[in-house]
Amino acid sequence: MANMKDVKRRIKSVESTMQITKAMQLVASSKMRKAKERAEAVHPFFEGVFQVMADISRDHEFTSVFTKKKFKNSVLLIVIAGDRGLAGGFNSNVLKLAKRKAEEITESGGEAVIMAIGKKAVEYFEKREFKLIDGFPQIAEGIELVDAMMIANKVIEKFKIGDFDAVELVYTTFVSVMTQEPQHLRILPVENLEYLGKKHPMTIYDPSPEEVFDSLIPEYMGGMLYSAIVDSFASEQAARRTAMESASDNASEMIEKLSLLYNRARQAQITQEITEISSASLNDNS
Amino acid sequence: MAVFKLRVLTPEKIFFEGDAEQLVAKTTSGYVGILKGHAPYVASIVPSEMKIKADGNFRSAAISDGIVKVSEDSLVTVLTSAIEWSDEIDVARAERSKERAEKQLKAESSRTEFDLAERQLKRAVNRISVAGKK
Repeated sequence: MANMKDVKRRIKSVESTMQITKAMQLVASSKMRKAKERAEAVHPFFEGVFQVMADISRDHEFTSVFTKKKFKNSVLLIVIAGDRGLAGGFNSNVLKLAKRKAEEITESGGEAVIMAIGKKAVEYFEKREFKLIDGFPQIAEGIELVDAMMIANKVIEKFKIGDFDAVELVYTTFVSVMTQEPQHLRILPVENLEYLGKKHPMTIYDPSPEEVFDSLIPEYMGGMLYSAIVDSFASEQAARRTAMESASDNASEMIEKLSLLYNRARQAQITQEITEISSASLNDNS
Repeated sequence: MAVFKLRVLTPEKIFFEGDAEQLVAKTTSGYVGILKGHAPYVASIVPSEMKIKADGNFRSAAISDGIVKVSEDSLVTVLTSAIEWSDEIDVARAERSKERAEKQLKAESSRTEFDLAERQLKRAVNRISVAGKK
């Protein structure tokens, strides 16, 4: 027979855990909604930027350091993960993908350089034998565009002087409340610009298509980074919400089982007491 | 006055969307005015004051780096990382940003850092000068 006192204590502790997981679930779902709105607000801007870049590369013969395909000697991986745990497989999924991509680069004879965004990403790569050039923990939640632009400008300057030949992004994209997928994306050199829409050969570029294109690169990079960070943050919150939801469910299931156990123990005790009393009174009568 | 469709977009929000009579922006080769029926045109905008005329009144805004695009269907799009209406500029913040940039410029830093600080300074000075203009 279970000890009533122990069972009662366990119920209490599970209950207080459940309070925490419930609260975390609520917080995550409200943060997720806000982040989702921000992630969606980027789309019109980004499409505009990408369209101009596509127009230029389609209508003009031009060369830019940002489109030249080079042999990939050194690749910068920008890895975006969360600042906190307790979000199911969110961090480990994206970090696993990042590690695999970095290993693929190393195996094909190149060098992988890592820039980590999010505390979990920084911690992960500090412990491993990859070259971590920069880390930005704790910026995802309150990120503003200027922060993303600052990182983007750093990356662009380094790319220009040839520190690396390609820039790739590993982050988690928000598919739905239930699914978030780790993604791998090439951002520099700019690819897939050809064959979008019809030609507009009459467009005037001031001062020249090349200069307009190059001046757009910071906006492109900044917009891309900002949207990836916000997207990843929304995914993190969604993952945490799901994880906390199932934790709360498990807790209430446990409480149910423990209450049953408690009631059985209580019943057994009462039955025993009655038996004791009645047998005692029987003894008195005889 | 004839109007055209104007959209001003930043990654954070749609800053302006609607009919405009005129747009004045400073590109790498100087100020340009755009009216309805402008030829297809794309130019880079430098940190400066940008004016939008709608319903007969000019309204001015401080814009950072960006791009202006006139497409063939006469839709005008301005893409920028940052823009603020002149009456909504936080001057104290701009002053702080200016001081930071100046300090950075004085420090013996790499060329990259110098360039970044210089651009930051330009944006801050622009915001301070546009603030309060009608």
